[in-house]
Amino acid sequence: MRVREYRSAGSAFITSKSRSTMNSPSRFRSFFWQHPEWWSLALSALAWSVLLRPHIGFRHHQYPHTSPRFAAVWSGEVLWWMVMVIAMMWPLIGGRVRATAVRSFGPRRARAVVVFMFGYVAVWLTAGVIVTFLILCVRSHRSIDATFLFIVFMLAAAWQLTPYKELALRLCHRTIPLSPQGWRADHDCLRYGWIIGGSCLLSCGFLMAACTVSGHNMAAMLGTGAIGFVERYSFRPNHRILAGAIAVVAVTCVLTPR
Amino acid sequence: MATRVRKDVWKLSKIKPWHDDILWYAKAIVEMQKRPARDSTSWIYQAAIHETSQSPNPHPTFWTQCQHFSWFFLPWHRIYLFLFEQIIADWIASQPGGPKDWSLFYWNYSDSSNADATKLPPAFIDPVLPLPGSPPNPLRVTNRARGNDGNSVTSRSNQVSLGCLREPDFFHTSLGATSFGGPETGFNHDNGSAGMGHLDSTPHGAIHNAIGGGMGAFDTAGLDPIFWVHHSNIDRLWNVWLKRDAGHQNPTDPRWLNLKFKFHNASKKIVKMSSSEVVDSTTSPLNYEYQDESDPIAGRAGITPPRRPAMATKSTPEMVGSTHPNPVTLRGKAESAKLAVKAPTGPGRLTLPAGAPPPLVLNLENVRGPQHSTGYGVYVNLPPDSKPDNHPELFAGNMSLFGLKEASRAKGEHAGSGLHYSYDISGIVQKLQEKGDWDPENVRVTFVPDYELEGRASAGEGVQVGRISVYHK
Repeated sequence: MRVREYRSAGSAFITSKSRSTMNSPSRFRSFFWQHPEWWSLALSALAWSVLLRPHIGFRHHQYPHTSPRFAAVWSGEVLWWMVMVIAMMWPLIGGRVRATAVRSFGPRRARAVVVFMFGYVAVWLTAGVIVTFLILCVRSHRSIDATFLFIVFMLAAAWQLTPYKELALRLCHRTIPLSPQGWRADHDCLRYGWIIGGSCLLSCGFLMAACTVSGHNMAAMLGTGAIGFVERYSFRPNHRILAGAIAVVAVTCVLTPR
Repeated sequence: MATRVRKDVWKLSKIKPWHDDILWYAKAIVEMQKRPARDSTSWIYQAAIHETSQSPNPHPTFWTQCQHFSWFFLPWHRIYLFLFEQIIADWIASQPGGPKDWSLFYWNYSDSSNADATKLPPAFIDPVLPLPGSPPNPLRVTNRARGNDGNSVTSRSNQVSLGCLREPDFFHTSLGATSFGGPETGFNHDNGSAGMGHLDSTPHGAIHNAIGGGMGAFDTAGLDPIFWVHHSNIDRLWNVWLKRDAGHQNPTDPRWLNLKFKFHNASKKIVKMSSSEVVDSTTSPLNYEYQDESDPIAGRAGITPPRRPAMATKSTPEMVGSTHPNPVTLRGKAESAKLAVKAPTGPGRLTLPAGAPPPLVLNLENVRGPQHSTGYGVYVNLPPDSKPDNHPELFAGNMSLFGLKEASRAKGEHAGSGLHYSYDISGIVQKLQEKGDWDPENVRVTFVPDYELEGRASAGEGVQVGRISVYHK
């Protein structure tokens, strides 16, 4: 086989002038190459399996109103917040994960994705610390009854109808130029993850907070997860219908024994 | 219902500069311009369907709906044009002496047999109508940057190149690929920097940029009567593409076929139409064809990009070269950037087609900035200080900047990501390799402005090309 080879400074670009004898890639390898977001979806599935385990019983989790163990409870709440984020939000950013990988050199695709996820998670972790703190403070002064829970969900439904929600959803699709290599590449991937995390938080933060207020109510999480999925992957999400769906989730949560 | 024929406006103009069809068009526009903006058959309303700068948008369901940089580019504009044509044709038919079969015409600026093809037809630059009292001519719009003086609107022939007709695929799915019609997207959403369709860029965007002024921006383009005639030609090229090769097919994905777009018809009733209803212009409800749908590039030399692999084994292109973090800033002068191209490491390297040119695509990503007064020609390895016109073999494509300011707005439909372009440079690389001029460590990309900008026009933030990358398909 005649091959014209150009070699310079350690790199080579090979062209073939005759019929290639190279084999086609395995379907296995092609699949993982085409879907670099696969592992984030796997982790998301794992997170769902944790959330849905009935014996955890966090649907009936009682938060002490005054507790010397506030810090421990708070830490636990932040942990569950992050499990919820991984379960419910990661499937929605598969496109952004794939875009990050595709826009990186082959050998650093995996690293680009991991760094991107760090940036994304950092936003939600910061938000989780604040949101859970506020919720625990509310709980320490009054019990979270059905009315309060319903109001929180309806605020999320109202947010769904605002132009800011529409803007946030569009911002979740944005791209920025990524440096190709070196520390700048890591910096840009981290920054991109932070930007997308911020947009997602603006878009879905109210709903996630409502799920936390509900004590990680199963109906709330499954309903919210489905709403987020439909919204993200619809070609043209109907925000009125989605707001109505949130209202249905609210009613379901209120009627579900806590 | 009889099939209407949309004719070539220059052929009409050669018969008579103010051919009856053109004069009736002008009269209809005068009538539409009298109607209030809230009237769905008014001139302002029809233009605002494309985009409006009014804030808040008084008709968010119907205004600012244009589809660009998307596989919906062609069907959405076809529906838009069809309903506009209905409004005009219905009014004309209702007038004494008005023809019942009036059809919109098209501007074939790529017609190599017409030396005036890239000039605006005379009726579009005449200051007055050929009517008693010489009323102002609505077809002449004063805010055009070029064309009103009777000269060509383009500065080089490749601004109206029909290389898009060689694209084998209607749509593409990722960065590092090209297609005729545009990338697979949701409704007006970005697709991870996938470049716009070849036709969307050239000649569509190139002509918008070439005329400039109001035609150079989404929210004012529809106010120029030449806009509709230009888009009629773009629509015609869809038919030409389908006919020139049996392998050229429209998408069969239900997401493309079935998404409904809302408009008003000539009777001011809301209508919902989808791509599936407009894939064939000769059937109901459209019932029109073009005077000339023959293949304009038959027998001409040119590289046909490789077809995208079948869906079952779809590949993901791999990035093999990229510029470093500082964006390239363009201010109306020629600029160059260098990058190195590496060997691919992913599965794509194992599937080199026999004897085919190296499957490389050049991308311009996240191109952002305010409205810019010129587009750019993009060249690969153009020798320094050489005349671009002497090297057509190194021309990658046009970077027309139609939609730049809209795509750069953080609160806009594209969330500030800017514009993205993809050019198949396999043929260029093959020619350079054959001459021994291809050095993957020193690939130079040169931007040559269509029109050099001076003074105030060149000052300011200019256009930033976020990143230049090369992909291996």
